[in-house]
Amino acid sequence: MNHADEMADGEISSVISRHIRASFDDNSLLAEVGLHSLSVLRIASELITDPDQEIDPTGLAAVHTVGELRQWLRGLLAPKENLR
Amino acid sequence: MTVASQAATATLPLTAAQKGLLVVHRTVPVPHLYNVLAELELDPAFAPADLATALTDVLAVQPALRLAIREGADPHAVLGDAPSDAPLHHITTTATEFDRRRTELLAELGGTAFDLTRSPLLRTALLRTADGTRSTLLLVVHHLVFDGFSLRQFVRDLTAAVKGVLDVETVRTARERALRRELDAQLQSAGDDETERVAKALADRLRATAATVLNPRPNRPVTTGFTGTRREIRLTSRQSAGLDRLCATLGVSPFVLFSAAYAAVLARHSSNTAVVFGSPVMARRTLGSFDLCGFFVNTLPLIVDVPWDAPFDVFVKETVQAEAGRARAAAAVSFDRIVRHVDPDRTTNRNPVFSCMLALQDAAEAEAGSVVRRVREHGNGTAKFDLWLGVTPGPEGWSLELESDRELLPEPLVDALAASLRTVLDRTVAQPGQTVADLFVDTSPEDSHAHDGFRRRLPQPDLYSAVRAAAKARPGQVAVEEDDCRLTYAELDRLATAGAVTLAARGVARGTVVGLTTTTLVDTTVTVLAVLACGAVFLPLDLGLPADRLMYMTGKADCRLVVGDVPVGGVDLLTPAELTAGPQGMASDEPAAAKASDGVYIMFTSGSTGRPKGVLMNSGPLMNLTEWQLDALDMDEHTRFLQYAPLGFDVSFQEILPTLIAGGTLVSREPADRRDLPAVVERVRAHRVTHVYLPVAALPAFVRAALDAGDELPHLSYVCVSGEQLLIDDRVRRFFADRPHLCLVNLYGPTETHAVTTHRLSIDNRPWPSHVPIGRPISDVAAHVVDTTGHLAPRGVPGELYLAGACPALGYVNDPARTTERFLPDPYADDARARMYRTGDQVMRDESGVLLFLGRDDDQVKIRGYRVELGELESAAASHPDVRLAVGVVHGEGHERRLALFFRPEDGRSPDPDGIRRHVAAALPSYMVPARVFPVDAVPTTRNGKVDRAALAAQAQRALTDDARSASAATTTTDDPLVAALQQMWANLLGLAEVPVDRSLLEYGAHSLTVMAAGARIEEEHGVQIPILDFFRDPTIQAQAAWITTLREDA
Repeated sequence: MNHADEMADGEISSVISRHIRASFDDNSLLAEVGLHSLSVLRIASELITDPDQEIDPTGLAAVHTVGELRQWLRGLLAPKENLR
Repeated sequence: MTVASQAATATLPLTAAQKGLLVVHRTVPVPHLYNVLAELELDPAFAPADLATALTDVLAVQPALRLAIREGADPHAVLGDAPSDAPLHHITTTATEFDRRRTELLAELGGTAFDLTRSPLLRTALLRTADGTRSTLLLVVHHLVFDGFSLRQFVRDLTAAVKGVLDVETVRTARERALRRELDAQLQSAGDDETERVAKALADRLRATAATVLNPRPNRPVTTGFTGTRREIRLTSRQSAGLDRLCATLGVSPFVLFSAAYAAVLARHSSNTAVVFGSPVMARRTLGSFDLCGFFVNTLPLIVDVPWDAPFDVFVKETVQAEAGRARAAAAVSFDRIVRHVDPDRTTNRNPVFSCMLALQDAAEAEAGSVVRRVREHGNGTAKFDLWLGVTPGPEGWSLELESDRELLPEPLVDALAASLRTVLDRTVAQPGQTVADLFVDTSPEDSHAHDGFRRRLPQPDLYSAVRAAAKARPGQVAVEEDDCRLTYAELDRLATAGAVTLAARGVARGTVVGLTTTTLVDTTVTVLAVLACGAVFLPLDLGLPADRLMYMTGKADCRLVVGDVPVGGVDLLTPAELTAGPQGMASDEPAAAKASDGVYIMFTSGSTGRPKGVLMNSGPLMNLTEWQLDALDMDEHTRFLQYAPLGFDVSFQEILPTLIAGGTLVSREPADRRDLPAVVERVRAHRVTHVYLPVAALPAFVRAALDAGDELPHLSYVCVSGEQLLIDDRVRRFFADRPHLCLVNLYGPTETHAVTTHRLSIDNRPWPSHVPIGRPISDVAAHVVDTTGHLAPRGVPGELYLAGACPALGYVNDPARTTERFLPDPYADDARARMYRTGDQVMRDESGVLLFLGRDDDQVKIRGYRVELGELESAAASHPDVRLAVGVVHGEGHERRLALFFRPEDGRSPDPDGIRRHVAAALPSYMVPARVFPVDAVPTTRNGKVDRAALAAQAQRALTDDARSASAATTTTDDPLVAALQQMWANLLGLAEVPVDRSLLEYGAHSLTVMAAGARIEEEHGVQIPILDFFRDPTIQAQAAWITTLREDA
């Protein structure tokens, strides 16, 4: 994991923590900790300021746990050229 | 304020979802169907002028609200200039008038269509009280530019504008860019291969799933006017918290939990195990789009299998969660793309893929300190779906709203749906581990016991003593009337008592079974009464049945004595003359009264295992039926009831005994043949008959015959019918409309219970439906409708009919196994000994509680009113040594309904289908003989391994159609042009390619109704009338040609 990744992970964790009031770990189900699809999108827009950033609903539908959310956000934060 | 816009008149593409919506908008008859109506309750202290300014700012920063639509070859949107003043209408009213004005304004805004070519597609009205205590902003926007999520953004922008923190210029530029970017992303994703693959997969699953139809009544309207009504189901904060806890425990979202509850409710109310409903899925793809108003949703179907026996929590987690995930993952699939792949029936103006909808609404909660205090969405008196469930979270808990189509779902049925939904949600929280079926409860105990209110109590304890009482009251009155014989009550009583003495001398006692092959009404009536006087049981034996079958019946019923002119098998015979020749002085003792449990008659009906079943009917149900009938059919000493039914049909009981008990006159049908309806009508007229009881199949012919005869039938009061589903056409309607003194009574009841429900059609309840209900139970009869969940069904929900109370027979004679299978303890009764009969008939109660017959859930069918177990036909065919497997099917509708038999030969054998048909005909009554017999190499099966009768029925129907098609080219086997013309006519009538000229037409599917039709055509073409009986005497084409020739010569 390079420095940029570490930075991103730190940011992701802090935003996730702001949105979840209960205790959780990576295996916690989003529904269990009170995160619904809209709050996930809110988390994404707090992390990413680029309004052009696309969200693929198929990918988002596969996100069920906090760990998967972290992974999905990491994908969104990755430099654009890697996505295309 | 004027905002200079760089975007003036810019062209924007429409998304697939928008185009699809545009198509629907153009095809529905309601131009305001897609008006989104909302209300923002405002802080009343807020100045109206400031609101107008804020609203103008919102229009500036929300490009979608400035769109106009251009239709045509290339539909697109045009982005308009930001207006200098928002379209805000100010209304001031008094505090007392406020709510009324609010309702009026909502109706006006919601009901007024937009001109899509003119932006903004939004109208607002600010309603305030003059005293400044209340203020509300009413808002209507066209759905093409606004989805549920848009409301949240609208409120946010409005709040920001009011607070003065909305940087209009900067935000406007950014939002217009965001809109373009979002549209690009949508168009790009809609066209990709993955979206196409997902759409195809969804369509495949949809095609394999039956449509979810609520209120699946016959003749349900195919098109509607889209008028709707909304109701709220408010959950308490405690209930809401319970649901939230359950979501957390199960690890599912509220959408998944509500989807599961909704799916279960839909499955119950549509009587399906797999349901389809739509749900809007957010299709926004760019992060910037979440600040935009706009129409960025696709409505996707959820296809949910509802396993009744699975624990609800497992169902939620395993089935529904997976399905919800599939729907979300398919967010890019537009509805029109699914429709293209499904290729559904488009003859309806309803949504072609799903008729029910679930929308988890976004909580557009007001921010603290905001000018907007509360946000609500409203219905606008329309319904896009048969049923729509909106679920919205709020500060006090979940709020549920049901919007329903007024035409398709009458109010009481929506009550029932709402009750089911509430029950499921309550019970889910209490016990999430119980089975899906057990989330429901019995819902219609009152309906089960509601009856039609008719009853005239008899003072006598049994049928026989009631007849005797009538005889004593009017000894000189004619009891039985034949053409050459009129029997008074005194004579009837004398003969019956003499007969009873003779029977007793022959060992007949309480419970002894006596067969009847009597041929005249007088003999039959006397014998029946003599048997009843002994407390014995009569067994009608129709001499037209195959000898083997008669032998089986007498053997099974332990019948050792037959009264009649013809012996049956080895059973002792007593002629009617011998019966009444006994010593007459010994009958002065009144016989002991029959108990309710004493048997009265045995009637055999078709049995699925290949042998007929003998129903042993007892006194209790028959006394109850008689008491109902005396009142319901206004029976008294003036009653003249035509005895039409064969004695082997339970209907004959209703003709004979209640008439005698009423002191009326029983009029013999003879010499008119039962199938010769013109002769029957003539007899009804000539003998001033007041009551007739016909099989449903004979009603059209009866009506036609009366019309042809120009007969008003002034003495007739009641026309009763039963036997199968009564369908009424315009001719029948007109016939009764022109004779308002006639009441048409539709009766329903299996042999195992006798007639138990009735529906009356009279001048008071027009218009008459074409599919006539079977009505309401008679007094003391309970009709339980048990639905797919195993509970008493609410109104509008199909289920199996169980008949209880004073109607189930004792059982099948000498057949305890089958008796136990169909006659069950009645769990809904207070009395532990109460029994109910499981009919196997699918029925439902309509919104007023009236029962509608829907069909059978097994292989029992009705052919021209006769009950036929396909199993019995199959057993008869399979007894042929060359037949390995036989499958009977019924195909065609109404009077065109026919039996067909498919058989798979034994290996290496290839028997002639006609030979198989003859083999069957030798063993079964003629109505059970299939019209066509087809050999097959293999019998098709359904996905779950059952014989696919539907496929075979379709095959039989195709064969008929093919035959009919090729008939035009068929050659005749005759040089006689008259014979050839008749042959052609019969081929058309029977739907066959060729009909032999020298064989019985009855063997080729002709029956009384086709014979009637043939008679009419012959009269039209040849100018002669062939008496219907002559047809039946020699039902061949050659014979008809000979008659026509003779009649012409005579003329």
